[in-house]
Amino acid sequence: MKILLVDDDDSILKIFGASLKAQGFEVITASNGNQGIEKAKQNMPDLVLLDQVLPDIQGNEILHTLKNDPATKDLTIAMLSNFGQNDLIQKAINEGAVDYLLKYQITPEYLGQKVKEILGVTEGSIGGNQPPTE
Amino acid sequence: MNMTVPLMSLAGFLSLIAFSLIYWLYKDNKKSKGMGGIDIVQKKTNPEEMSHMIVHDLRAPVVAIKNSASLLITGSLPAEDQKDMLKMIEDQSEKLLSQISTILDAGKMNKGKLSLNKELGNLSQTIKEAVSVFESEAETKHINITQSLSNTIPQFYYDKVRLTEAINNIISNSLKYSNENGWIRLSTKPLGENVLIEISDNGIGISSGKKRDLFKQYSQAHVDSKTQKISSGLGLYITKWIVEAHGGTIRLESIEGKGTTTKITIPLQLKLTEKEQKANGLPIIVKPLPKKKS
Repeated sequence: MKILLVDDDDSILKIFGASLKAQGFEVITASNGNQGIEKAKQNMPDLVLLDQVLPDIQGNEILHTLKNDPATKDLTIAMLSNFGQNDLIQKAINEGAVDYLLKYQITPEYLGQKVKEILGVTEGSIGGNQPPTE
Repeated sequence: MNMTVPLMSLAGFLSLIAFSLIYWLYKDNKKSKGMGGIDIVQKKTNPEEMSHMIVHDLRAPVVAIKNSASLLITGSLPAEDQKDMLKMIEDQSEKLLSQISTILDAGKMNKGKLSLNKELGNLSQTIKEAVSVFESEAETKHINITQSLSNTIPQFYYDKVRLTEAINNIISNSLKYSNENGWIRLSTKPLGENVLIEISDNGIGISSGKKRDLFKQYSQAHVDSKTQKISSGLGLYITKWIVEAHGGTIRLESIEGKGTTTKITIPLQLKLTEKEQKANGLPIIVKPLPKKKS
């Protein structure tokens, strides 16, 4: 299963990227918003983990763009941010984010579990072609 | 990997240090207020906001160290990723130490206890070492860092640790405010009895309104409305002190939307002063900068 990680923080891309790969996911990374939108359209990942603060476009704007584009509106998107204010979380959920994860609270291992939970996958189905379980 | 256990302890320990530092800095600020000299807290930033900015700045590398170590402990990473994680721990520890030094230095400056420890050094080597800490971050952001370092600059006396800190602060700002596929250029050249260090970028630049307060303590402490990036604002304040304590100058030229160039001159001090010789390699306290009348 493909995960697109959009973040401008080198350490986040490397640490969470390596962790997700070790747990069997295919990981694509983007270090800014425009690249994130482009890679989302090109790769149609199973999940987009989207940072809120990016150098060019803010995460909530990217979320809005992807959710309002017929080609990408069905993508599963979760926010991964350092900012946990209620208004930001509420806004993201209203725009269609399935979850809002706080970077400083999440460990690489827990992120993997959370991703599986969001995608409704079991251990054996990550690398295969089975549809997500309900 | 057995070494990851002490690394995890290190991450926890560093978190404790970070919070202790905030307390220590506050304590000093409170004491220094109204004593004349340097303004401690600018009007626009209250202590609570300032604390938030500094803690936020310190939290990022601690979290990266903790997560890298925790990932190594799982033993599930291929050899190449393990190496990446160890490099990450090294780089982030370096950044954290630099940030802690900046906070400690700010406290010492306010008490007039910040010192220089000059030794004979090779400036090109110092700059190369400073840049190496940012290579990985620059690569991820597709920002090209180039160096054009003069080979005619003789070895001279300067505080390697502090000058590295000053250069780090400027490169860090350039990286923070540069766009994808941008560039940062560092160059040096002899200029009479000085050396000129130029650090340029083609980042977002600085508005004229913000320029005049850039070197004041905490003047930058803010969440940038455009980039949403958090900054404690201590970096440039310390940088200015370090440069001026060496007898040098620092000037910043910036055009909003085009980029920023920082020009630093440092005297080519070829021998130690009598006072420095008497100190016999021990740090010499440099008084805080006089407060300029506005």
